[in-house]
Amino acid sequence: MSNDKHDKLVNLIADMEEDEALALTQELIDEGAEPTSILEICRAAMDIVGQRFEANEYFVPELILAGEVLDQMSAMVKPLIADTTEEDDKVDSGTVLIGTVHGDLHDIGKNIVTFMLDVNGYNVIDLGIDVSPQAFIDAIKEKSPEIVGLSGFLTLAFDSMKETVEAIDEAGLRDVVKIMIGGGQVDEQILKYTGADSFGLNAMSAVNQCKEWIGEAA
Amino acid sequence: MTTFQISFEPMHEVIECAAGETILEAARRERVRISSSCGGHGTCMSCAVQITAGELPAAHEADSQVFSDRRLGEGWRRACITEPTGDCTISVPARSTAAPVRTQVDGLGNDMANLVDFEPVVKVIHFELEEPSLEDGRSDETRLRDALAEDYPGACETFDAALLRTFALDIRKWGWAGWLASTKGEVIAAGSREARVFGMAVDLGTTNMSGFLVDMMTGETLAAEGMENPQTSYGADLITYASHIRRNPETAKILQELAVEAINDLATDMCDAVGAQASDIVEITIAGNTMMHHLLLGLPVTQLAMSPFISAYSDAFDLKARDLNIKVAPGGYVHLLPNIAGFVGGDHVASLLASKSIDGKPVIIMDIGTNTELSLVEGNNITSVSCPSGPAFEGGNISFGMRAAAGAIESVRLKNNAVQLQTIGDETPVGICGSGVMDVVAQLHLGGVCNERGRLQKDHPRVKEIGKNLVFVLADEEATGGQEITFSQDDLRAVQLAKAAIRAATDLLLKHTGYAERDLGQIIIAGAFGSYIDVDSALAIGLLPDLPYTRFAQVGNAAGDGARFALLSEKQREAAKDIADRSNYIELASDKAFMKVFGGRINFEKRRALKSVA
Repeated sequence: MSNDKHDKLVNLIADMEEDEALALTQELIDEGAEPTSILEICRAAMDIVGQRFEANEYFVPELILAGEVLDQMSAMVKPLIADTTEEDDKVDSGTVLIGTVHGDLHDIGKNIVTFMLDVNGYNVIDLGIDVSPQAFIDAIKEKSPEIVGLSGFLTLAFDSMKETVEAIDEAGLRDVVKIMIGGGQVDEQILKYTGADSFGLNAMSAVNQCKEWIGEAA
Repeated sequence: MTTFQISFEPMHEVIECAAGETILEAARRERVRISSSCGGHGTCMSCAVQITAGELPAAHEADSQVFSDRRLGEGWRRACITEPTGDCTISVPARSTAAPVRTQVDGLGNDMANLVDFEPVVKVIHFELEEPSLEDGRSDETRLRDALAEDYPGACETFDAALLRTFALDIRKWGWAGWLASTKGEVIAAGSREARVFGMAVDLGTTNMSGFLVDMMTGETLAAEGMENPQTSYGADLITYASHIRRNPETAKILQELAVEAINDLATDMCDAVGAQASDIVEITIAGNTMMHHLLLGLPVTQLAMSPFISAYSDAFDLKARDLNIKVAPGGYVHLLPNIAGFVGGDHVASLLASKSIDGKPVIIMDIGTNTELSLVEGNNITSVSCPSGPAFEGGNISFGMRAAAGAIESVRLKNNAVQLQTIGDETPVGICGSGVMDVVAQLHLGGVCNERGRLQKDHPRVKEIGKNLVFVLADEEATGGQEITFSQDDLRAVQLAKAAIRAATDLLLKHTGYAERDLGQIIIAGAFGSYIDVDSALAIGLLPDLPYTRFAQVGNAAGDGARFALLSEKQREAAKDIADRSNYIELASDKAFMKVFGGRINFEKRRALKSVA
């Protein structure tokens, strides 16, 4: 297994060459590559995609496409990881609960954040879209996450975020979780409005925030 | 509380502004028009103003990023984030103040009589009564009822209480003769033999509204007027309204008052024009989108803009105009056309009512606006979808966007790196309106100034970098005699999102109904914007399916026409209900395919070069 192939795969994903990227992924798997190394490639590729998006070179279609490629790659790689981690001592990694808040159906951003947290070793529980405050509360009680991520694209979603944070507070769970928000044009002012702890403008900032809060995941 | 005097030029308005209040908030309160297409969130440039005298407040951090130091020194600020710190004079650019044109009163024109039989819900009946005497002591009301019993049975079942209060005195003044207006057995208004009687039809759009004054004795349209919806100072799209209201429920009340004021203004202006009074109007029909409809009635709206997008009330609705504080005849009614769904309102129903479909072939009727509604009509089947398309095509949320007013760039051609602009009224360019926005994007794409992904190309001589943003220079300082007018990468992105949403909605409407683009007999483009766009440009950017020109029809203000139909004819009013009932609405927000199709329509496609491009 050569580093050349790694670099090539990073570039194929970043350049949106879907078919070739998937073919090369299969090739690497067949050659016996470490599944985690492939996820590391995905992470590196998403870094580039994020930079290109920031630089305005990429736009929404590329994010959608990148999300799809990541989905397919995890489907290929994940089953292999489950096998290996059973043998290793599974390190107690952080758990992140994530969902698009009530009234909003957008999920591109949330899916990318979910993937990025996942490949960075966090145990991510994705509640999907249009998630009610009660569903967040139930999941917090059941799964005991350290971090809750509230996603939303619509400006109205900021109100749903606020409601969700308040509901978590009323349920007496506010002190047991850190809450981060993202997905739209969030800023300090909106963070304050919603009562969450942190906001992020891209998937990497979500990963960095989790690292800051609960340390590197295993 | 500390207050400051702020004077707005060129309108010479002086208002009070409280410390801690932004210029935009104060202006809104006192009804001074400053355009604000993002709703005052500091995300666009439409409310840029210049503080020319008095105390210049320090620039907000966000303003330091969008204005050059020179501009900041000259007093340029955005009204939505700037709080005056003392008395000052503020110059509002022509982008905000220029009077709008093209607010669309021209639809089918005055040939309604050929299209609709004049059989209105409100019947105007002439009467002559016998004078009362000691021998004939019947009450005025019984007298009237008896006189009409034979020819107009059931016309006087009940009387409006407000009418009764003046009727007894009036009828004596009128010499026991005149006309009365009766709606479904209720006498709602009356007048002397000489008095005229009117109805008004209103198309209440998010951005623009228009009114038509109709003679209810003949069915003739006597006056028409268009104006900007004053509610736009609170934002250019429905979601923005809803989030304003959710944060501050008082806003709903203000928005309702603004709509009522505007309807009253339309009534007064048009009545003035024909030498009549607003109190001569006995009925108003209103076609508005569901949000406008709910706001006007004072119904809650936040649930409309959130999944699952449920309206409080969708059927046609009649209520007394006075209940809404609309000042027409005291007993007069307001009729609101029915809605189809949370995002498909009475305005689209009215468009469908006024659009005659071609027999045998499916037709798509498209209302392009901040929210776009599309219906595919085929025989008796109507399938409707909607998509958020943002205000970009109305000049909103575009750096130098403006409404269609004098000085707005309405058409753009790019030849050998030179830009040819056409402005409304041939004036010096001050901004760019919707049709110009569509044109410039088409030209950027066709001229290779942006790549197929919509990225502006740095090496083009008219593209330059301002901060982190690339902009295309439409008119330099020499051409404008002031600030240069540019079209930015972000503007281009906004248009890409808008056109992709509309095209994806079209794709999915076809998919759900099982038709291909080529099966369509016609695509009818309704609405003010729709009638001014260059179909060539719309095809070039991929907004419309690539079909022969002959298949596109631009019909103008179909919603206004439909509102008039409902005023002129009870049958048409029934037909509107029938359309709303028959429409099968498909919610695209929950369609898993939408994002993928939408994503696939954001880029530009390679397409044959147009005649206009060398």
